[in-house]
Amino acid sequence: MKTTEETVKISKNKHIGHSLPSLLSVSPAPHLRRLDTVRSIMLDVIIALIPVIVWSIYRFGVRALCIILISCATAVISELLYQLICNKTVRITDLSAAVTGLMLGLMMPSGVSLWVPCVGSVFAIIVVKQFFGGLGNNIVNPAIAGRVFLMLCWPQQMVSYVDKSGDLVSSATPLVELKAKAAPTEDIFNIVIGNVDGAIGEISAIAICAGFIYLLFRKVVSWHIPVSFIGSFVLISIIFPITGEPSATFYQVFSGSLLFCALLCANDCSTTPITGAGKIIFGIGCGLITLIIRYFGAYPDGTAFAILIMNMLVPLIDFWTRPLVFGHRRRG
Amino acid sequence: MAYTFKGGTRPDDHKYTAKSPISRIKDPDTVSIALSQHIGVMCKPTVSVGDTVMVGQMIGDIAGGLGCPVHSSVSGKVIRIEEVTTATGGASFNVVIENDHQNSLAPTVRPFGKKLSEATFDEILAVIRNAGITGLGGTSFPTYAKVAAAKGRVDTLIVNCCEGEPFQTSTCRLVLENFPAVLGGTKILMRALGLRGALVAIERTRRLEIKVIKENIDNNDLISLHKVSSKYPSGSEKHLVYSLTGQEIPEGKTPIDLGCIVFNAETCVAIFDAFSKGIPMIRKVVTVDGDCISEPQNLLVPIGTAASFVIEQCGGLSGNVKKLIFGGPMMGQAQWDVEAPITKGTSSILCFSDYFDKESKLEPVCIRCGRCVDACPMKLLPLDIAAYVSCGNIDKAQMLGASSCIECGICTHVCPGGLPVTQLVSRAKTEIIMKRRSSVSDK
Repeated sequence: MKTTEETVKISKNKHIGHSLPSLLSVSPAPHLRRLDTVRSIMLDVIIALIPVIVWSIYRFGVRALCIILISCATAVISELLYQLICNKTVRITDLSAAVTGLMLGLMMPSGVSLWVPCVGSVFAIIVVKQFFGGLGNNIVNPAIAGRVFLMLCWPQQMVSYVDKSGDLVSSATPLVELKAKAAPTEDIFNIVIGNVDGAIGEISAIAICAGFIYLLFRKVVSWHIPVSFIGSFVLISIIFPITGEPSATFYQVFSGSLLFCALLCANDCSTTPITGAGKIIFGIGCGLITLIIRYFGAYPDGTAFAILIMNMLVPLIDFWTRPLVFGHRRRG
Repeated sequence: MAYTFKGGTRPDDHKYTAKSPISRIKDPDTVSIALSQHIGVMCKPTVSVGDTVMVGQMIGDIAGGLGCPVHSSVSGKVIRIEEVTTATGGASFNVVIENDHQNSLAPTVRPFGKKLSEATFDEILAVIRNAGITGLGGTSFPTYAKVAAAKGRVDTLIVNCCEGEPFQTSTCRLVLENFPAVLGGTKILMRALGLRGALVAIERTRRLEIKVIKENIDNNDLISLHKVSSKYPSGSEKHLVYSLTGQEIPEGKTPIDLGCIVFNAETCVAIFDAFSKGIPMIRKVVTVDGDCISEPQNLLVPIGTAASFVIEQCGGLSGNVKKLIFGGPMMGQAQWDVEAPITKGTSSILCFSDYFDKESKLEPVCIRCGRCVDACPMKLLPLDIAAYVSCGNIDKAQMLGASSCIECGICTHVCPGGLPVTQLVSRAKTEIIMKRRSSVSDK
């Protein structure tokens, strides 16, 4: 049954149909929105991670699946609990916590104890993301910061590799060999397809590129950061190869976390500059810092540190690269 | 000449009515003609209750200052002059006329007697002024005032045939069906401004219209066709001037300051009608569309017709209407009353369900994706301005150039976080203007 008021209004407007609501909604323009939402963007990132996840499960078996699931679940649960306890809107449905958890899980080495990704996810979500104001307000990439936290607290855990049967392997990765100025022994073909030891999601260049191309195609990410990141890294490592051999550059790019971080991780929009020029500066900065850490630092792989450092420079880069408003003249 | 500009976006254009010819609507039984349909001072009524009026008779005259006369769109009797609240919340007086369906023409409706080559600037200006023509591109600025301001200061006349707003097809249809009238109006303006040529600008994707324009201007070297990018807001005056001349219009200046003047194609048709037939601005081509309209189409509607009457002529409503919009979906005005009358500036009537503007279940959030920055045609940082406005820092928003915003709506349109970016920036703009006014009055 209709209320009296609605009936009156509808009978008055009988000639234009019965579907007129009793009240029209009034709002300022625009009245047309794109269908993209934060959720759809995060879903695209998850889809882009699928090749990497599939490869990690193929290579490391159930163990990889456990690491990814635990990391992802912990991230979502800790976001849920934090929002409930602090009486905030629960917004785990936007999938951003799930993406952070997945990324962090994929950066774990195969032999890690299962409590390590748990701790990392809690740190990433609670300390790095929620303490700074939640989605969009965090100043550094939560997954990267979580990883760095784990690298600093439990360095042994972060370099423990096992094979499919669960036996510990102690082969030196190409980056460690390069650090010792030795020529890497690993087969080039195995490195490209990802048939090596390493963090479960970071080994297969092909799977990572497939995910990145999907994101590019869906216009979720732009080319700026990956191209300037890897470009600046490759350029300088060709000019100054670490072992004196030009082939070292190849190993530098395809082993370690460079590809995963540059193509899939560093593109996190909240923690990168907003203009194209800013993104290029960000990428070049990341490339240079990675190179410096790999050449002169204590760690064989400095990608995560590089992104973390550049994240903190983002407000400054944004200020430098502010576009000139249409019709305005540059002062001075 | 770049024929394009930085920023902008390509929304799905939803131009379902592009093939629907402009048809005349059945005459309404009553019309309610607003005395304020333009930028400037509201008209003073020249008729009183009980008077008999004829089609084209002036019913409101300029009351001093910037203004533009209004005319009756039907013949009949003035039954009341009432105060109404407009959709923007302002007050307006409307003259309500009961139609006697005689369609008797007022004696003032007669063609301009002389040849165009003998007409003087003042005569042309008087015709435009007396016909009550306003800019039909969206701003509703009185055309005679624009022409008067441009006298001797412009060397480029641009006819704007672009229609960037989704859903709207009225200008496209006019160009297709009545381009000679557009050309006629252009020639009158060229004569008035002492110009020897004009540029006709249209989006490069509109193949049919381009063909029609080419056929009509074939033997005319003075009027040239220019194809511009089809990004929204292609119809924006600032961006059209930039596309065609490469000059950015400084904030607070008009195209006239750069020697350019832009007229909408529909304005040209109105000027031509005023000259050739003497008909003032009493009808408007309106696109009626939206997912709740049964039969979307283009209609020639007498000014003052109620939206409900127009919707009835289009087969009524289907589906649950959430919004009734006058104008395009990007910049149009949502109405609260289905009886709201058509004015000179109403280029479309859209009835939307909640399909096109879904309210997010989650609170709006900025994830700093930068899509608004990439799409902003004014090269602003909408996300930063919105953030400063949200925390009340208008000075900082002003420093970022918020007052340059043209309120095209792109930033809200593209925002995946559901943040009302345009609305926040336009709030900054309003507060900056109020602050300037109060600082002027302090001095």
